[in-house]
Formats: sequence, structure tokens, C-alpha cells
Amino acid sequence: MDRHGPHNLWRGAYDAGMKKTYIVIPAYNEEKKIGDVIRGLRGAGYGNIVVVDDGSMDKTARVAERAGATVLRHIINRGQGAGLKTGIEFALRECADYIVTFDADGQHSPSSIKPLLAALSNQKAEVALGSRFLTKDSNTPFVRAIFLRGGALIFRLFYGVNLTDSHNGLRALTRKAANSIDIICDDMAHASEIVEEIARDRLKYVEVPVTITYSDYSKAKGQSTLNSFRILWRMLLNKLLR
Amino acid sequence: MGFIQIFGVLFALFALSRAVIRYKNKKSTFSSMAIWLLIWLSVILVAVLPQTTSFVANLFGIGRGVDLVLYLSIILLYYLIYRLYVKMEDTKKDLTSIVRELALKGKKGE
Ligand SMILES: Nc1nc2c(ncn2[C@@H]2O[C@H](COP(=O)(O)OP(=O)(O)O)[C@@H](O)[C@H]2O)c(=O)[nH]1
Ligand SMILES: [Mg+2]
Repeated sequence: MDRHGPHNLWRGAYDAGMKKTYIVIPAYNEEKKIGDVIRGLRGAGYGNIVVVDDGSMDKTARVAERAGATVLRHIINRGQGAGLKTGIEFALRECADYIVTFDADGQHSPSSIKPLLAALSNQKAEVALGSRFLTKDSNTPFVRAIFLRGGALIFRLFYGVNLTDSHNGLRALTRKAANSIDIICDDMAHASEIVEEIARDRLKYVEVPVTITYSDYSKAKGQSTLNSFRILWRMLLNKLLR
Repeated sequence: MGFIQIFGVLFALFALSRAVIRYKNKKSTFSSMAIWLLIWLSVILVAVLPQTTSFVANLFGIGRGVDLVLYLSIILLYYLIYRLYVKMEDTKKDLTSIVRELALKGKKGE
């Protein structure tokens, strides 16, 4: 049935091992957490780490560099989407095969990356999206959960893309997907944009369970739930203006 | 003629001359000058003969000339806001591209 025969037994691991993987971290004023985040990733065996310091007012860039990441600096703040695009662009220029997007605030766990990459290397998908709702480990606050699931419902209605989670910053892309996804929204609305591009370019996608940890730090610093309305508004405007 | 009418005419004449001068100094195109001429000439017409607005308004089924002017200005304002919004978005995108280029410059091949 499978023309690769027995090779298939080791092919998944072999591919994941030989492919060049880049971790892209958008960061804005994360000096307190980013050092540990980078060390955690390096400890888990990920050597190519790109931090996009988006005009932070603290020592994010210096801390990230010391922890061993390549740091790209936006001289002024342009938003999370803009930061991601810069990092992805850099990874593509460095001939990355796989690109993982990862948060700087310690909400993501390095152990989530392996299953995301596995979904790409066994060719199930071009885009592997993390979902905090496919596992019981995430401690998502109730209100946030409702909005995230509402977002997923909107994705289904708008784009016909079926997801359980929306606006999860933890994902993995193949080079091909990264090339065809064009992030135009500089702000947080880019997450919806990625879903839109998945629909438009008919990219194969899967959702993979990932653990998102909510700490006091992440809740204080993270996006307010009200921002969902802003994102929806941006989605609509972008539809109208293009 | 009342004071406001005289003021209106004088202001329109002033603005009109500016539009012509800008065109003569090659700071604007002919078509943009023509549009401004048309606008300021009609302002003069309305200032001198206010009843013309009522005449045009009646053509559109609107009772008073002032109402027509108000409706038109609201439409124009919305359009200008829209143009402004689009321009602003374009400018923001250009800004991001510049910031991105600066970030990527010199980092390749490290
Ligand atoms: N480049 C960039 N990254 C940002 C900006 N705001 C937040 N981030 C980063 O994006 C990630 C997620 O942001 P966060 O505010 O925690 O969003 P939340 O987890 O959805 O509440 C973190 O790594 C932040 O450092 C920004 O303006 N620019
Ligand atoms: Mg966060």
C-alpha cells in the first residue's frame, strides 16, 4: 500500500531531525520572562530562535541576546502581527523548513512544539495550529474561553475553517505555508488573517493540543477580552477596504 | 446684500485665486483646479442668489435649499473621512515596511 514501505517507520523522526526549524518570538516589553522562555527552548533542543523586539521600552532585546537568541529590533512598536511577519521573513531568508511562532510571556510550553512539528513532518498539514481546548491542561479563564470559542465560530462562518481555538499564538508552518501567508494586519488581528489565508490558499491544516498557562503575569500584561471587539472590527474593515 | 453674503463672495474669490495660482505654479493639475473652480463659483452663485439652492433642492424633492447643502456636505465629509482612513492605513503599512527593513538589514547570513 505504501510505496515507501518500511522506511516509513523512521521517516517521521528523521524528517523532523534534519529539517531546519526556526522559532519566531514576537516580544514587547517582556524582559522579565523572555530569558527563561529562550533558555527553555534551547534546553528542549531548539537552537534557531529569532526574537523580534518590537520597540520595547525595557531590556527585552539585551536579555534575549544574552540568552542566545537572534534579535531583530523594530525601532518603534508596530504590533504583534508586524513583529511576526518580520521574524518569519528572516526565517525564510535563512532557509528555514519549518517555522514555529511562540509567545514571549511564558504562556507556551516548549514541549508543545514536538507534536506541532510532527503534524508537518508526517505531511498531515502545511499549518499546525495549537488549540488549548483539545487538552484539559490549559487553565483558560472562563470569559476568555467563551470569546475564543466565539472567535472560532466566526472563523467557521466567515472562512469555512473549522477550529476549536482562535487567536492562539502557538503554531507551526511549513516553508510553503509561510511563503503564501501574507500578514497585512500589524496588530492582533493577524491571527484571523492567518485563518483567512488558510482558507484562500486551501492550505492543509490541523489543530494540535497545546497547553496554555495563564499566570498572574500573563493575565495582567496580556490582551483584554474587550480587544476581541477591536479585532472583529478590524476584520470587517479589512474585508471592506480590500 | 447682507454681510454674510459679501463675506462669502470675497472668501470664494480669494480661494478661487489660490486655486488658479497653484495651477499656474504647476503645484496642481488642471483637473483639480477645474474642480475647485467649480466649487467656489457655485459658492459665489449661492451667496449672491440664495434662492437657487431651493430651486435645485426642489428638483431633488428636498424642501429647503439649506437642507440640500447640509445633506451634500455630510456625504462629502463621510467620503473625505473614508479617504483619510485609507491614506492613514497605507501610511501605517509603509511605516511598518521601513521598520521591518531596518530590522532585517545586516542580519542576513549571521
Ligand atoms: N511584536 C510585538 N509583539 C507583541 C506586542 N504586544 C504583545 N506582543 C507579544 O505577543 C505575544 C502575545 O501577547 P499577549 O499580549 O500576551 O497576548 P495574549 O496572550 O493573547 O493575551 C507575547 O509574546 C507578547 O510579547 C506588540 O505590540 N508587538
Ligand atoms: Mg499572553
